[in-house]
Parts: sequence; structure tokens; C-alpha cells
Amino acid sequence: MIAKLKAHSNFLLPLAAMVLWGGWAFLPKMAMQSMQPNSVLLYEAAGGVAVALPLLFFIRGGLSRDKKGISLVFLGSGLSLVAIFCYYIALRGGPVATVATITAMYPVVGVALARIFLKEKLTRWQWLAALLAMVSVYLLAG
Amino acid sequence: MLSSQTTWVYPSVLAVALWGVAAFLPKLVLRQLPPLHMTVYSNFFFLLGCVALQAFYGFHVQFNAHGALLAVLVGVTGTLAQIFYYISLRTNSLTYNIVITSLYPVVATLLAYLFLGETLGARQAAGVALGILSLLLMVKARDRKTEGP
Repeated sequence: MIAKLKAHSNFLLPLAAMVLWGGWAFLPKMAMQSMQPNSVLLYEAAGGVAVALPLLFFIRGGLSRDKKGISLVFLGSGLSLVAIFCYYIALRGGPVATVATITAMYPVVGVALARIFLKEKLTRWQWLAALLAMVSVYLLAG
Repeated sequence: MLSSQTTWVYPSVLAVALWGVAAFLPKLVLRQLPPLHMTVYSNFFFLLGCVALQAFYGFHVQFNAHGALLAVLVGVTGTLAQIFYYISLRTNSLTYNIVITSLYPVVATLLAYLFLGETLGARQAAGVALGILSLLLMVKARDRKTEGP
């Protein structure tokens, strides 16, 4: 059973992430029915830490103190937070459907960066899949 | 007076750029830190950022038991997703991961349909169908690429 799961981990891991992020995207709507976004964000962070802290027991030899790695994680976390904040500002001033559609296009930036800096290449079918994914997200956001 | 572009177009475009970079950075970080270490650090930094944001709002934190529980669940699901994403990034390309995980609105749409009773119009149904097709195509194309001698 575990061997079978491991054999398909290349597909199952990103799929599990996708399903969980689906829940992550869905739940705030219910949470924000009773609280403001900034409060929801704080409890969300507490939930994240509640999962992250037990991980310390599974990490042998303590947390790595690689300065470059930690600085990059710090940068990524800061960017994510500012992005969420920008999203809320945009939602406050603009039409929800348009804002959601524009911001749903972030994978284009990620794919472009992977192409430029990591020299990742896609086959014709993978380009088609990426295009279909963008159209799908566009249709869902609109 | 601020134009409409200043109030929502620029923040939207900025969010796209920042989220794009934030999705790209973990691939670089994996050269320095293992996935679980990244998860611990990023959640700690995210919490610090959120506390700083509360300072901006004058520490006016609301509490509603049901809402807080749901918000904590948001953090739990997001962090679990993060762990799977980081582990997958070790062996898969960034592009493959980004394309598959970018389809999370398909799951969110289906959950909203099932649990919130939101309607699933023709446009959304087409979006879900295309999303599933894209997922299958991405995985099939990857398998074909990795097969052979």
C-alpha cells in the first residue's frame, strides 16, 4: 500500500496540496461571515503554527540555521502577506470578479520565473495543459 | 483624488507579481533547507507578519468561536498543503507543481457548491471540466516525458 502510494507520489503530493488549498480558499469565506479579514488572518496564522510546531519533534538535530535559506523564507512569507493585503485592498475598491480573475493569473508569473531562472522546459502537451488550467481558473473566477 | 486604477488595478497586479514570486522562491530555498524546516520558518514568519498587521489595525482582534475555529482550520489546511507542495517540489519541476496546484479553485468551487449551496452555472461547470482535463493532461504528458530509456 505504502509502496504503491510512494510510486505515485509525483502525482499524489501536488494533488493533495491542490485539494487542501481548495479547502484553504473556501474556508475563509465562512470565517469572514463573523469576523474581519485581519482577525481571520491572525487565527489562520495560529492554525499554521499549530501544525508547524509539532514538526519540530520530527526534525532531527534541530532546525537548520542556514542564513540564506532562512532569509529567502522570510522574503517569501513577507511577499505572501503583502500579496494578501494587496488583494484585500483591491477587493475593497474594485469588482470582485475582475480582481479575482486578475489575481488568479499568478501562476503565469511563477511559470515565467521557472523558465527564466531554472531553465525549465515544457512539452507541447504540458503547454496546452498550462493554458487549459489558466482558462479554467479564469472561468471559475469570473 | 485617486483614480479607480490606483485603488484596485495596481494592487491586483502587485498581488499577482508577489504571489508569483512567492510560488517560485521555495524551489530556491529547497537548495538550502529541507521541506519541514521551511514549513516551520515560513509559518513563524507569517505569524510575525500577522501580528505586525494587527498593530496596524490597533490590535483590534475580534473573536467569534465558530469563525475562529474555521480560521484556524484555514491555517491547518494551508500549512498541510504547503508541506505537500514543498516535498513534491524536491522531485518535480516548479512548473508542474504550480500548474497542478493553481487548480485549487476547482476544489473551492466544488466545496462551495456542496456546502454553501452556491450555484454551479455553465461557466463554472466548464471551468471545473477544463481544470480536470488540464490536470490529466499535465500528468499524462509528464509520465510520457519520463518514460523510455
